[in-house]
Order: sequence, then structure tokens, then C-alpha cells
Amino acid sequence: MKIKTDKISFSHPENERKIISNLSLTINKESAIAIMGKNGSGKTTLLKLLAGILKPKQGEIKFEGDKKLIGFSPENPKDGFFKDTVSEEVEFYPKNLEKDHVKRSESALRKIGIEKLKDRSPYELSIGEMKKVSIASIISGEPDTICLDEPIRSLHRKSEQEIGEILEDLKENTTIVFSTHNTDFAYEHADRIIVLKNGEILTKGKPKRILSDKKICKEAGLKTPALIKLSKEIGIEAPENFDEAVNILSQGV
Amino acid sequence: MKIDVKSLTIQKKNGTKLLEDVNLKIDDGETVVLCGEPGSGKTLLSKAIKDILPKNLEKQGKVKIPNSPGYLFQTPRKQMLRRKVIDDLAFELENRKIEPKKIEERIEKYTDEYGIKNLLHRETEELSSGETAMVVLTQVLISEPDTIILDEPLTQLDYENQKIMIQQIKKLQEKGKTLIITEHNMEDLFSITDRIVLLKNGRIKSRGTPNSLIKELYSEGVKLPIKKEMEAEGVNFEN
Repeated sequence: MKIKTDKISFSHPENERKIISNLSLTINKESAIAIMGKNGSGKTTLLKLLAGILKPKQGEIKFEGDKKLIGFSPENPKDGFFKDTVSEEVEFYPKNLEKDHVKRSESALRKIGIEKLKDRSPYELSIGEMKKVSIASIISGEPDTICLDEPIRSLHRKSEQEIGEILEDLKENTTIVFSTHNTDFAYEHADRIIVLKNGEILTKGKPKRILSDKKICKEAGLKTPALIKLSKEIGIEAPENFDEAVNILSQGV
Repeated sequence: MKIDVKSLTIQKKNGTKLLEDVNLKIDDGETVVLCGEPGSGKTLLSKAIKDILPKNLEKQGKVKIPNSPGYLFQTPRKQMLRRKVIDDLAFELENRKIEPKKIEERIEKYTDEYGIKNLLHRETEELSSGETAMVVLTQVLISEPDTIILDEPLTQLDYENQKIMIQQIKKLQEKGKTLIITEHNMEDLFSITDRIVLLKNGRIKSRGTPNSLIKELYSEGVKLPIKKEMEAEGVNFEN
């Protein structure tokens, strides 16, 4: 499915200020898009609009293709939980769609690698585990697009890497739109970055181009990814990821 | 020795131990990071030092601290108690029965120093996360505590506000404040930390200067500045 937003705007009923303003973009099938920008730039609102949780005040969102299922995972995973066990949580979406919920839930738990958590209460898990449950609970519906709000915020490095690997796996047949402040993560896992400023698109493009651009980074409050910074420092082409950098550097520059 | 945590054990009513036999001394003016993955007990330890443990937990052992420290919560918004910023800043001072004239002076001084004078008459609910963090930090500092506990002060902030927060932390260090920071990510704090206390499953696993703990922090999944992570992987930057 392809998603196109045509000049969409959004503001809260009691407030005139536009959180999303006249925004047009196209999201192609099976890619990973990172939405970046400062606090309050409209990232979460845009994700909610794409996921259909909010409706634009002006403009329209068009979906091209046959399947039109979109999942949304909130920044705080607890906001999305309402069942007593992880497996009930993950079964809920396919059950609602009247699909084989047992099979789909098992498959989602396996894909995310959290089968062992299935009888636990989602509320008692660590934040990293909660994030995984939240993702499992949307992919069990087998949507073709998933919107993840800050999937790695509050996580430590190991969980961050695990979520990164999950996204890499899902990317093969799902469109992923995620918001993040973490430029290192976006650099490694996004195919394209959309940078927001005051509810409008400041710029968009390939991670390497966007995140190497000091001017853009400054304007959007983005930190230069550590890999780009380091490669500039030692005068090499920026590697795609951390492992590649370690390989290059262990062999000597 | 200013802060002294002795044989501290905290458990749930059913006996599950959340912190076990924690011993920790913190010097005046030291910056100590309580580090560890989510659920390791770092926030709980910081709350025990502030003496704000949830009521359903049982505590054994002792925490000695001369004055009540300031505490910046992980979700600063929850720390705002009143509708207007100016009233929110006055809250703690009013509680301490400081006279109104002095409260006014202090608010003037601190909002000036922390660059939030323009927010004084705004509604607390309408502030952005960056503004909220600055207001709450000012709210904590305005009662002039010697020790300040910051519970994951960078997590909720974007890069620009993170930089501002780190500047504020450095300023507090210059003023000689004792800082206790909980954090699972040492990328930005590595160079400004005196000592790291690494917690795992409710126990102190190790402690020392950041540089002495590089390999251990890395293998525990703590994020470090990229050069330090590469050092842990065996890359040598000296050559």
C-alpha cells in the first residue's frame, strides 16, 4: 500500500495553533521511514494521522492498494495495553478482524522473540519487553503499515539493537513509519528521513544526506550520528553501521 | 562523607527483593551516575535516598543524608502542581513558609538564571516538553538544595534541550552541588561523571570512574560514546 497525504492540517479543537500544517508526502510500500524533528514539531500527531487515530482538519489522506491495515504503537506502551496477559494482548487485533487469532498471535510472538513472555502481565515487564509486546500486538493483525512512536526511547543499548533487528526483519514485507530523536538509530535503520519543523516538512531524503548536513541538523535539533562524526574525524567514508565501522578500524585506516 | 547508604534492602510485601544489601557513600560535590538497565533498581535507590519510596514496599537498612535533596522526576510534567508557572515555582517556597517578598525575589533570580522568565505567566499544561523540563528544574533548584537527584534527565528531551540540560548539570557542578543521576545511557554523561555505580538486579555490580568501567558497561548494554564502544570492541585509537 502507498500512503499519500494531500495538504493535511491538524489542530486541537480548543487551540488555533496548527500542529500539522499543509503537509503533503508520499510513503512508498515496504520501506522504513523515520520522522524526526524537535519536541513539539508534530511527529506524534503525524503518526496518529497516518494511522487514522486522528482525522485531518483539512486535506486528505489517500491509501493506494488493496490492503489498508495500519497499526500504531504508542510511545508509552502501557497506553496501548488493556489485557491481563501478553498473549491476550497479542491475540486481540486478529480476533477483532475475525482471523485465526491463535495462529497469528503465536507467529507474532515468535517473530518478535517473546514467546516466553506470553503468560506474563504486560504491565509488569521491563520497558524494552513492553515495547516488543506493543509491536507484536500490532503485527499480529498483519497490517501492511505500522506506525511506531519513539520505539527506542528509554531503552538501553541492547534492547535498542534488538528493536533495530526486529525492524530490519519487518521491513521485508511491511512499511514502517517511526518517530525518533535518535539519529544513530535512524541512520542505521531508516531508508528515508522526513524532518518536521513546526508541523511542516523541513526536508526529506536519504539518512546519510540529511544527517551529514550540519545546517539541517542544527535547524531540526538533530545530533550528528556518532558514525558520521567519527568518520569525518578520521577522514573515511561514513560506514553504514557500527559493525562495519569496527571492521574498518580494526584493520587500520 | 555526606550521603551514606548502609545495607539497604527494599522488598515487596511478598518478599521479592528489588534492592539488596546496597552500600554506597557519596562525597560532597561528587557527580555519581546510578547506571543500569531498566528494572535494575537505579530509580528505586534514588527514591530511597530522597525518602519517597512507594508505601507498598518494605525497607531495611539506613540512608543518611543531612538535608532533603531536590528531585527531578523522569516525567517532569507530573511534578507540576499548579496551573500557572509562577505559582508552581512558588509552591515549595510557600510550603517552607518563606515570606512572599523573598519568594518573589527568588523567583526573579532563578527564572532569570534559567532563562524562563518569559514562561512565568503561561499555563503549565501548555508548555512543550523542553520548557516543562526547564521549569521543573528551576522548581527543584529554587529551594536551593545541596544535593540534587536527577532521574533520567535526558530521556524525554530532544537534542537541543539535552544540550541545555547538560549545560545546567555542568553549572551545578561548578557550584559544588552533589549530583546523583540515574541513567542507562552514558553517551552524553560519560565525560562529566566522577563515578559510576552499576546496578544489576537490585545489587551494586561494580563502581568506579567511567574509564575504569568501559568494558563492563559495554558488555552490560550501556550506551557509551562511540569511541569508547569501539575501544571495548578492541579498536585502538592511539595508533
